[in-house]
Amino acid sequence: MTKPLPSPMMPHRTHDEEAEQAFVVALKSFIGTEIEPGCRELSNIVEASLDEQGSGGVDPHVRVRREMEGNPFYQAWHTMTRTAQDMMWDSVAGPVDRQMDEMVERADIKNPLGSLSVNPEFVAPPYIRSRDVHRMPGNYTGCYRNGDVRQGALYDCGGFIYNMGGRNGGHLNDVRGHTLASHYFTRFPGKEPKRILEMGCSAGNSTVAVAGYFPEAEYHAIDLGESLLRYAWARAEHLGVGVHFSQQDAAKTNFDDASFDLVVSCVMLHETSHAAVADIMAECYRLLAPGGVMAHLEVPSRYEDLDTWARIRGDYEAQVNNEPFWRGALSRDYKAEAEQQGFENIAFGFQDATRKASREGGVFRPESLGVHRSWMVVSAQKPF
Amino acid sequence: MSMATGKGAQYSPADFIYARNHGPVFDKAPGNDELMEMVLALTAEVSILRDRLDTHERIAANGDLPTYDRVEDYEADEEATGFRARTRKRILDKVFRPLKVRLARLVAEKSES
Repeated sequence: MTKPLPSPMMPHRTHDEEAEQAFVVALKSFIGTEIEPGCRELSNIVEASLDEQGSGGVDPHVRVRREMEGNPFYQAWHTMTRTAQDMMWDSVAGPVDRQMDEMVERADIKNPLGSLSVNPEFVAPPYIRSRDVHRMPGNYTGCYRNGDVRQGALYDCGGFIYNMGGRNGGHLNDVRGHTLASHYFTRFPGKEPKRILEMGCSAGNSTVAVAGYFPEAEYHAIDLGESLLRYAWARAEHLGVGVHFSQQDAAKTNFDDASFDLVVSCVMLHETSHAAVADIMAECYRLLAPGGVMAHLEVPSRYEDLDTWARIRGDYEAQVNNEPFWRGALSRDYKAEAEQQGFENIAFGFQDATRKASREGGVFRPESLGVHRSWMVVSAQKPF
Repeated sequence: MSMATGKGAQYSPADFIYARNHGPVFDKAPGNDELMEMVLALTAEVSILRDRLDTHERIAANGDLPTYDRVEDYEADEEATGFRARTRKRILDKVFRPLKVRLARLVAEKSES
C-alpha cells in the first residue's frame, strides 16, 4: 500500500519515496531562503568593489559573476542548486520507472473524450534537441517504449516538487492555466471561443485548467514529445476533460488557416529561441479567425528590472538549468512583435495569479507583484 | 541570517563551531562538486531515516508493532507533517552551518578590504 499523489496519472510513492521528495522540497526551500541571500549579499559587495574602468564592454553582472566564480560560497550555492535539481528528478524517476507498466496501462484509455495523435517521423526543433531543459533526464522528447508516458510523468511529478508540493503552483500545478483564463476573462469578457489551441502544453497541467472554463469548445493542445503528450492526454482523460493532443511544432502546425478563436501558451516562449518566437507569433496570426485572440503567459520578470544577482541567477538558468533563451525571453518586446505580425488590441502586463478564475475577470497591471503572485501575459487580437 | 560584519562586530553563535585559527581551508579542491553531491545525498538519506523512525514511534505510541505494511500504510497528520518539516530544517541548518560561517567570514573580509 502506497500513497497517491494529487494527479490521477502520477505514480504511487512508498513511505521512503515520499520522505525523499519532502526532503528535496525542504532542500530547495533552504537554498532559496538561507543560502541564496548570501550570494546576493556577496554580489553586492563584489559589485561595489569593481572599478568602473576596464570592463572591456562586458556586462556588469558578468564581471561580478566571473569574480564570484572563484568564491567558495558561490561555488557551494551553485553545486547545491544544481544537485537539488538533479535530486528532484532522481526522486521522481524512482517511482515512475518502478511503476511504468501500470502507468502505461492507465494511459490505455478505452472510451476517450479527446484524442492523441503522434508522429513517429517528427523531429523536434534544434533548440529543444540540443539539451535537457530543466535538467530533466530524457528532456521533453524522450520516448523509450510502446505506449510510453515516462517524460510526462517525470515532468508532472517534478513540477509538483518544484512548486514546493503544490504550495506555489496549486494542487494540480495548474495556477498558470487558471491565471491565463483569468486574463482572458479580464480582457475579453463575454467572448466565448469555440475552438482553442494550446501550444507547448507539456504534461497538460494548464491545459486541463483552461479547458475546464470552456467545456463547449473544441480544445487542441500540441507539444514536441510523444511520451509527454500521451501522459498529458491520459491525465486529462482521467480528470474528465476531453482534449485533442497532437505532436507538432508550434512554429509550423498542420491546422488550417483561421481555424481557431483562441491560441494560448503557458511558459512556453522562454523555452524556445529568438527565431522561434517570431515564427510562433506568425503562426498564431495564421491560425486565428478574424477577431480571434492570442494570449501567451510567461515568467513574471523583465530583464531590465532585475538586479545584479538576479541577472547572475538568470545566467545559471541559461547555462546550468538549460534554458538558454532566458535572457532573450525576458528582454523581448512582445508588444512590438505582435504589432509587427498584424495584431491589434495588444496588451502587455502582469496578471495576478489565481487558483480559480472568475468570469468577471481578475487584475491585469503594468507591474509584476513578483514570482508566484503575478504572471506576465501578452495578448492581442487578429483584426476583423 | 546573522553574520559578522567586520572588526568589533557582534558574532553569532554559529561563528564558534570552529576554534579560532582552526587551520587551512582549501578552496577549489578537485572533487568539491562531487563531495557536495555526496553530502547532499547522505543528508537526504538521514532525513528519510528520521521520517521512517518517526513513523515507527508514532505507530508504537498507538500500541501497534511497526511492521513494514503498517509503516507503508501510515499517513502523517498535520502535527506529524509539521514536526518532520521542522526536523528537516534543523538537519539542513546543522549540516550547512559551516557554509554560513564561511559566508560570514567572507563578508567580514570583503567589508574590511
